Parts: sequence; C-alpha cells; structure tokens
Amino acid sequence: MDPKNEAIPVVEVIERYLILLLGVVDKPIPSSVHVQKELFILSKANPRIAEFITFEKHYKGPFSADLADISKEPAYNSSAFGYDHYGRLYLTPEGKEVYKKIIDTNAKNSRFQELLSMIKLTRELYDKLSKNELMFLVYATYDEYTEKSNISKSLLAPSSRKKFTRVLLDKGLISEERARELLVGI
Amino acid sequence: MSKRSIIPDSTFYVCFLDDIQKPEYIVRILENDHFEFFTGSVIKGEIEVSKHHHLVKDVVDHRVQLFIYYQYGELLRPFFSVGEIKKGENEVIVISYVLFSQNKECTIILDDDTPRKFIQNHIPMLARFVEGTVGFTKNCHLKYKVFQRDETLSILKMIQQSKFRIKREIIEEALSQIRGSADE
Repeated sequence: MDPKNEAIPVVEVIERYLILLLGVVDKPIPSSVHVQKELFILSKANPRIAEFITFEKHYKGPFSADLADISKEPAYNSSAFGYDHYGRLYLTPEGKEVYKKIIDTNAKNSRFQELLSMIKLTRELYDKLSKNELMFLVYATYDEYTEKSNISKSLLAPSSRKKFTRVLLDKGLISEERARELLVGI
Repeated sequence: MSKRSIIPDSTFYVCFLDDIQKPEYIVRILENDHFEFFTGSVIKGEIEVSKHHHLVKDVVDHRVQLFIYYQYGELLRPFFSVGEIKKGENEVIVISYVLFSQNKECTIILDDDTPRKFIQNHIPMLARFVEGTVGFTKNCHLKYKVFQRDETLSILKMIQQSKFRIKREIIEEALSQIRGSADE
C-alpha cells in the first residue's frame, strides 16, 4: 500500500491489501485458508503488512480474525469482493474498479510496484497448493504457529509429513535438501 | 541502449573472489556500462564474508544496487532449505521476478540446480534469462566484449582448476566456443 497514506483506517488498509491480492491475478483465490496464509507469507516479506494485520497462533493459525471478518464483509468497499459457492474469494466488477484506482494512484511509486510484483508471485506460487499442502508448509516453516493448532499435529504426523513432502517434491516445489529437512526426526 | 540487469547469486561473486582469487575481473564486469547489477541483503552479506571482500568493497558499494524495501527471499522461504536460504537463492529469484515485472532485460546468474529447476517448473517466464557463472563469463567475451578471447580462456581454465563446482562438459563446451571465436 502507499506507505504515505498513514491516515487510512486499518480496516480500509486491510481491504486494500485484499483487493490487491485478488486483483493482481485474474482468478479467485482458492479458499479462505489461501487468503490467510498468502497474506501471512507476504507479511514476512513486508513487515509493514503485519502492522495492520495481526496473525495469531490459532487452531488454524497463523490466523487473523480481522482478515477473516473483512474478507466476508468489507466495510469501506462493500461490494468489492465475496466468497463464491466453492469457497473461493473473488473480486467483483466494483472491486476491479477499486483495484484499478489503487494501481493508477501508485503508478509511479517504485516501492508499491515492487510489492505488487511480490503479491503476484505469491498468488502464482501458493494458489497451486491444496489447503492441506499450504498449511503443512506453513506449520513446518513457522513452527511457533503450531502451538494452538488442532490440525498441525495431524498435518505434521510422520505419515502426513512423508505424504506431503513427496507430493511437494513431485510438483517440483521443494528441493531434495528441503525435503530431507521436512523429514528430520521421522 | 538500455542496460542489462544482472542478478547473480553469491557463488558468482565467490568464484572470482575466493575460488580463482581474481577480484580484478569482477571489478571489470561490475564497472562495465552494459550492465546494472542488483542484489539483496542476504547475497550482499555472503559477499562480505569473503576474505577478499575489501578488494571489491568500493566497486560493489557503488555499482551493485541493493534491493532494500522488503525481505524478498521470505516469499519463498517455505520452499527452500535453511542452507539454500542462507545462500540467497530464493532472494535472487524474487528480485529477478520484480525486475522482470518492470520489463527489465535480465540475466539471472544461478549455479545450483535447485533454484534453476524451481524457475523452470514454476516461474517459466524467467527460465530463458538464467545462466551460470561459466555461461555468463563466456558471454562477457562473446556478447558483451568485457574480456578479450585469451583472457576469457584463462579465466575459464582457472575456474576449471578451482574448487568451483561445475560439470566438466559445460566448461569444456564454453572453452570450445571461446577457442572458436575471433578476437576483436
């Protein structure tokens, strides 16, 4: 987001991040899990996002309640996005207008342009994963978020670890070295 | 003519600084006006670890543009091992993607198979810009005219005899192409 816009309310900033995440690729985000985890990973690359979106240790953690609420019911751009019958978050024509406006406003902002590329790369890579593959990778990478999770135990159980590691290796998403790392202790 | 954006991983710098111990060649590459070099904080940190870093510090500081706004490599952290992340391969990929998105003419210098395969499989639009240290050195004679023919042969032979890891057939092929080229 334009870092100069300090006065924008937090909820509106979160909505704008969602609109950018949705608009940068012309297809819906596969699930609410993808919405949460993709913005979480982006917040690791751009800690400024974490100033607006707090990711908690949660039973499906890392998880932001604000993000969950706003994705279901946007407050400032009320008809910008919504979930479809398949649980995918999509941008409406109104949302596409807002997206275009944000892009135009920041056209000469190099920092924003870099962020936009990174958001696009995030979508291109992480949309390909199933919900469980994505959560497995997030829990295996950021193990502090397993603390309050009721699903991390099963996802990180030896049989699941082996299964997910094999799938990710077969998809060419992780290296042999990373695969060995994911299987340590089994 | 627009400059070519070069985004090398740390092995490229280490090859010249430590493996063949010829920092003067990296200085000439960095100072060439055909190129704009880019890096991130992880790769820069790896260059600074070299015991010969002081010999290139000034030129690196002046000629290599540092991507500073974000923790670029973090985007790919879940896909790479701790060792791969330490080498900054994930950082090179993200910075290259950002530059590619800005319509820059890129050369991405990656020597390890893992990041190259990752690009081929998942960011295929970048694949045609990827070269290795040896390929780029060869092109520093054939395409960019940074080095003379005999100099390039000498550098490649030094690389061949150093601890720099490279498949024999790749360096033999590069040597053969240089031998077959005309000097200017």
